[in-house]
Amino acid sequence: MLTRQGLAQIIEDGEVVADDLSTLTQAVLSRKQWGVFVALTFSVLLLFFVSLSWSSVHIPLHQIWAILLGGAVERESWRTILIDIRLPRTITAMLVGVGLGLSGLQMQTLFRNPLASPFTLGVSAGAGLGVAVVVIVLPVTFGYGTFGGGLWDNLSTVSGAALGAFFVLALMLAIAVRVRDMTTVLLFGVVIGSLVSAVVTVLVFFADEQRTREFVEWGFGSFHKVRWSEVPFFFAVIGVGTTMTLVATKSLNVLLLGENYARSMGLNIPRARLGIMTSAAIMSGAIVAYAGPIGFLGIAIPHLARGLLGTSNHRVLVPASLFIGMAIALACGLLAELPGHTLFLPINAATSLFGAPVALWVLSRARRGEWV
Amino acid sequence: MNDAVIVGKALSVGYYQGRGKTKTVLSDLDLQLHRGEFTCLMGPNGAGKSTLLRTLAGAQTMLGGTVTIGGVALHDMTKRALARCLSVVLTDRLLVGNLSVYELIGLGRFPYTGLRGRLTPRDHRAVRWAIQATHLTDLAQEPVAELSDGQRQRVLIARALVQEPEFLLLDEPTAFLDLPTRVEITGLLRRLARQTGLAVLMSTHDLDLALRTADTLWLLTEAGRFVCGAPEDLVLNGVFEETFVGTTLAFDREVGGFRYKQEQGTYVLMEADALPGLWMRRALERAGYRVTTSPHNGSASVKIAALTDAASDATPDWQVECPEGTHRYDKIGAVIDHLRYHVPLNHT
Repeated sequence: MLTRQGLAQIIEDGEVVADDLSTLTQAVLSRKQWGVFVALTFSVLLLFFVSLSWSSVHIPLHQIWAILLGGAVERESWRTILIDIRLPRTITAMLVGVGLGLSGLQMQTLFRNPLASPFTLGVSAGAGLGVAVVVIVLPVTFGYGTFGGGLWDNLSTVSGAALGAFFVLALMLAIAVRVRDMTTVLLFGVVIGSLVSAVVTVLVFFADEQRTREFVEWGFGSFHKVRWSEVPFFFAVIGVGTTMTLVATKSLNVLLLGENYARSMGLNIPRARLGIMTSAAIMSGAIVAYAGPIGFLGIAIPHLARGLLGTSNHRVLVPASLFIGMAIALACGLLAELPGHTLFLPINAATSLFGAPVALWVLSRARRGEWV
Repeated sequence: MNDAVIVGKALSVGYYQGRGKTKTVLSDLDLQLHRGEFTCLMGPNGAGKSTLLRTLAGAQTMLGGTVTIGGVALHDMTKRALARCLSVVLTDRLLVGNLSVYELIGLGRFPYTGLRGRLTPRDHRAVRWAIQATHLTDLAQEPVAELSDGQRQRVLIARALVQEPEFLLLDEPTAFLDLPTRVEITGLLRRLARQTGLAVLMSTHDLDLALRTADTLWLLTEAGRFVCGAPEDLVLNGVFEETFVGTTLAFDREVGGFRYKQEQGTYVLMEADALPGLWMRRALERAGYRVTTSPHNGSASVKIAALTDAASDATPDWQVECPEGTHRYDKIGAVIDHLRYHVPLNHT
């Protein structure tokens, strides 16, 4: 006899909750995963204080406490160094880590490609073009002043970078929809990235010497460039991007099955794509505008998250990428400081030293057609 | 009583080619799927099976006609409403990385969960039911990436089931599976249709399985004709043969399978009981001979007879009478070897 009520009723009535099955309800986080999150939180806190204390000038930890809590300090210069230089630098590093981790994660899922990241798909280059247009072309064309650091400059630079990033991302997605082979899509990204970079080079070549120099330095990447006046803006952009990523978690999970399945489950694909691309673009745009085109972290962080947490579930991966992003970016910042020396390395060197081996590891595992 | 879940009227399916041009693949289809019925869609490659499936799933715009699901027109339904009454198993490759069977099946609750996608106890109940219905209890915590193809197909069916659909649509779910697994998956689908009242439509190339398990066959001929009916009716009225006409294969209504067509060649007269005769005929036709069982057919120069007085009727000895002498063999293979040596095929 057929029941008239269909599956819903059968599931309601079913005597399914046998002993072996009732244990199946899956907790979102296993005990091991909780452990990883606790360890990550401690690492971030530790790295935060170490990067405040350990640089060209060593400031003891108890003095850092004193300064942060507004108490008396042994030397007033430490207060200046900490508040005006190290704190914004450390916050920048953490924001960069969060932004690159989350935009990398979203792009890898959207493109279904383990090597997708703002850097490999040419999105960073697009953002760079946006910055170049705002900083070099517009002032010459409209004759307004130099790069000053006010709200207008913040807004225009970040918008330029985000627009450039969005443009390249949309182009890459259009290509990815038509070209199914993931290696080809990556090659397109590399080629478009170099093309866009070449345009930037031409723009910089015709700019004056001062700007050329600024641009070359910018290309090395740095956490030092962000001043206190810019921190709130940077924070706000990454905050919006992070919120959008959290909202997209459910969509990202069904996109793991591919767009056809996602569509069949009722996901509005164009809207989901637009949301994911927008948050990835504003985050990578802001990062490129404030810290330069930083390579490899965008690839490495999501893979570390998958490896450490042992899952592809975005409800776990999004917070994990956020914490790992902060930890890794702080570690790269420390590495670049060369503690005890007055020199510092370009951040790009540090991130590549760290990220390139991770990318190689991913490549060596991708041969099975499976993700880490 | 009309328990049709999905009804298509005067449906045409095909593609938009841009600039307002369309390419119609199939037109004027009238079709219905009923509750609790297992339907197989068959037809040669390129006949439009996938196009029809995609159109019924709402993934492709129809060029004409109407499709209604539970009385509501397909294009009037929201994506979420559609996802709650129709689910699919596709041929798309799965690259889900590190998701457990339970997590992947849980993704099927998408049209029911809230903004964050958190599963409620009711959602978990649906997932557990689907796991049990597809016999995945022991594998529930395993990573999907480590399953066999057949197990993965069951996971995808379970994922489709937790959408609590009225209509389940599968695009060649048995392709690339070995025979026992194909039988298992087909059996599972038929059982689900029977037990839950689900309407199941599956496209397949598995002729034999479809003939044996489907309640209804939808046949698409190369000429673009659409015929549906019980498999047995379609065999008897010859539509089945028409769909799969080939130059070398012919459909044998008596056996329900294909055999090699022989239009020329040397005649062999055969005398044997039904069962050994069936298999001897197949061996002879494969080797290129034409078989006759009528002693009056004068063109047969060779006679093969089963010696049924032998110990077992199923494996008789065979006596071969050729112009150059008479021989006796205990294996069909040995008879064929003898003929190959001594009796030319005479193909012109």
